[in-house]
Amino acid sequence: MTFVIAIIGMMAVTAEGWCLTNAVAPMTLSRATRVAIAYPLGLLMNAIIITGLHVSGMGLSSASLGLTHAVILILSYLASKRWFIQPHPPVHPPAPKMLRWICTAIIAVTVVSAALSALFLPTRQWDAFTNWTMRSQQMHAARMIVFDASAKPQYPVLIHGAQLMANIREGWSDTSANAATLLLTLTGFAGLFMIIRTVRGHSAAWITLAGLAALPLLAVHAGQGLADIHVTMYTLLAAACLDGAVQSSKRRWLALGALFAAAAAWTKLEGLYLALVPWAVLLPLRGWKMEAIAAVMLAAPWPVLILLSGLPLSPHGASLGLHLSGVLPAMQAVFTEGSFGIHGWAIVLCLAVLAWKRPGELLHDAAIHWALWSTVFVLAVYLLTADIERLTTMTAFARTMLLPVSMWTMALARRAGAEE
Amino acid sequence: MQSRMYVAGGSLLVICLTGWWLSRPLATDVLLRPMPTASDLDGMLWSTFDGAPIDTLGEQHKNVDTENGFTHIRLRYSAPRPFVVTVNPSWIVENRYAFNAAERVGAVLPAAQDATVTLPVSASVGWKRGTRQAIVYAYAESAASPRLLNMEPFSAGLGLRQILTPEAWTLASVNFLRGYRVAGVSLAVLLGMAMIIAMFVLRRNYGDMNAALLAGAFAVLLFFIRSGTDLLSGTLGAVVHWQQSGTLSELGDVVAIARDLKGDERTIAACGYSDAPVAYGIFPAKLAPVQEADIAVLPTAWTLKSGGVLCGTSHIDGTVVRTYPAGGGIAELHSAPSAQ
Repeated sequence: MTFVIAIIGMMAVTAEGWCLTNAVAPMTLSRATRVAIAYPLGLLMNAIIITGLHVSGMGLSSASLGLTHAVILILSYLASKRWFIQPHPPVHPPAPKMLRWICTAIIAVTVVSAALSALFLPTRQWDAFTNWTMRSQQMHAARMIVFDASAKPQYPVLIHGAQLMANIREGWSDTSANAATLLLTLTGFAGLFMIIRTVRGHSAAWITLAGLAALPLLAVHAGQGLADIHVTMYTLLAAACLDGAVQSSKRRWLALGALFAAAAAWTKLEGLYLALVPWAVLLPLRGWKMEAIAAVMLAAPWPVLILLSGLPLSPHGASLGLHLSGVLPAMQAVFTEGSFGIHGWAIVLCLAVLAWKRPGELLHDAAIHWALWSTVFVLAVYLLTADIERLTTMTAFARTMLLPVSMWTMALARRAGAEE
Repeated sequence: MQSRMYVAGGSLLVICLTGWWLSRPLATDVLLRPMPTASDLDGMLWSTFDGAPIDTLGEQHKNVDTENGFTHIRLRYSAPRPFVVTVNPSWIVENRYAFNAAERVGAVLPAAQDATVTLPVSASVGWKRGTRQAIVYAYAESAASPRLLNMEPFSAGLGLRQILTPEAWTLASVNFLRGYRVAGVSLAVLLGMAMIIAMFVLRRNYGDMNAALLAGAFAVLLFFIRSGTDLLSGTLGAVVHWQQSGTLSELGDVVAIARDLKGDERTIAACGYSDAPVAYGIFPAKLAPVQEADIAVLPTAWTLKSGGVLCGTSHIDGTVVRTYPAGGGIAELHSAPSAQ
């Protein structure tokens, strides 16, 4: 019964995301792609609904959640006007067989490990015990968003919303909560694969996804993470949509990307700085203002609610100072230790060759701009604030660097597919 | 093209065979395994000494310090009962030996009379070429203390087997990964260098950009073969342990105990590191201070010979009423603790 309820909750969210996708996504996106991104998009709506219910004082009971989702589902259907559409995805040549086999093997190892870890192990990470899954459980019991019982009350509620919808009945299932975040990981990255396949072709999609699955720290976090993998995933989806817009000049890509950028900000505070800010800066530079504003407007309710609640936006200190002692540990984390494997070296090598041979491509690639911004921002946060301690003790730095390294990986792997 | 592939495949085979031959273990090598957290060591002590009272366990340690680097320590010992031995590469800071506990490797040595084993220090991820110090700890029941008769450091091989030491990732806190080392050098650095050389070799045939991408992709694949093996085997191992015995790596039995106590109406305290997992597991009940609790969750249910149990660093008046496979347990409490 527990799993039936969990599946019903996830299906409801997916159905809303499906309608939203049909309303905004470009017609070049295949039905499979729409299915894949429906759950990640539905969770954005779910997070906004939960916040709305909390602010309106209606609480998060099974009845209020169920009823609101039913109404939103009907409205979403009416907005999209049709349940099934007939997309016309572009046809690309298939990837070479050998490439597909190698990439499939890499992806399969990561997916099997993630599924085993999420579904057959209990919640097991410290931050899940003190913040992520614990806060979801507290919200489930209190039937409202809790601000006073959690270590990091500022953190937004998209992940909590996913775990709540998988536990919509009375009683708490640890497995359902972890299954919800696993489903988000799997559908999000499957969506990323299919979007890149639509925009750049099969080889680029295979190489990108295998490159990401081979990132050692990302692969470990795919099992049960601390939302770093989800904020990374949403940011990559937004960047892939931006690439789709640049390649095709179709603004519907931007509407979809705006939703992903906003979802990143609803997932973790890093999403504000590493997804929303680049989105809001890069788009106007190319003359696209409306979609930049739309993403900001969609993401704004949570930070506004936090500030109105009298909480600072970040749970961490912000005292400024230059900490050059952190440069060496940061370099070691990326280039000599295991979190990023060989990715740091491969990124620098490919970038150096690209800068030497085709500097024009480097200057005009939005994903590379995004990766550069996120790298500089993360380094600045750790080297210029009290967060230096979280770098030297390695309690957070590598996790935060997942997003920049993943963005570099996607930017260069896509290029590898094109070269192939 | 086909002949090139044969040459590349053949070269790879020769490299692998040479590596295998150079990295074969000595006949007397003890298989040391990583123990990155204190609870890993606790679990090993518990299973070896079958829950003996904590104050009957003793430790002795010896520093190994030589002028030349070494890869192994030849240990001659006598022991009436099996005992736990751990090895840490160390260094000297302000005239004191320092070491990183997360780099600890260890094993259980059998009871023996004047036996000799070799401890491959190079199995530790902290070992580098030129490592000149190490600390060897021996843990045993005081009444059956082993005698470490002689320790002789020596070099054998290049330390290539270091790459076989699994990533010591912890289930409860994956903030970063230490990675792998070969002969004391980071695998990422070695592959990075190889990748740059490969690019220069390949560029004539494939052009600069394609050569860089090919070399990068191949290096990523090689690294993933190593890390993916650990990822899959580590996850499978964790799942099997959890499903069979309810133990969860460095969290030991704490999660299983908390699940058993969910809905228990007695007031519950959590000792040591167990507070967050237990608070999560027993929710909506709240943890109580140990002075006000009826029962306490013990990550390792060490008892004292004089009675009472160990709660973190405090000795408390209580009785262990249930133990779990990795040494965790539940104690019924009788009165307030006395700080040690």
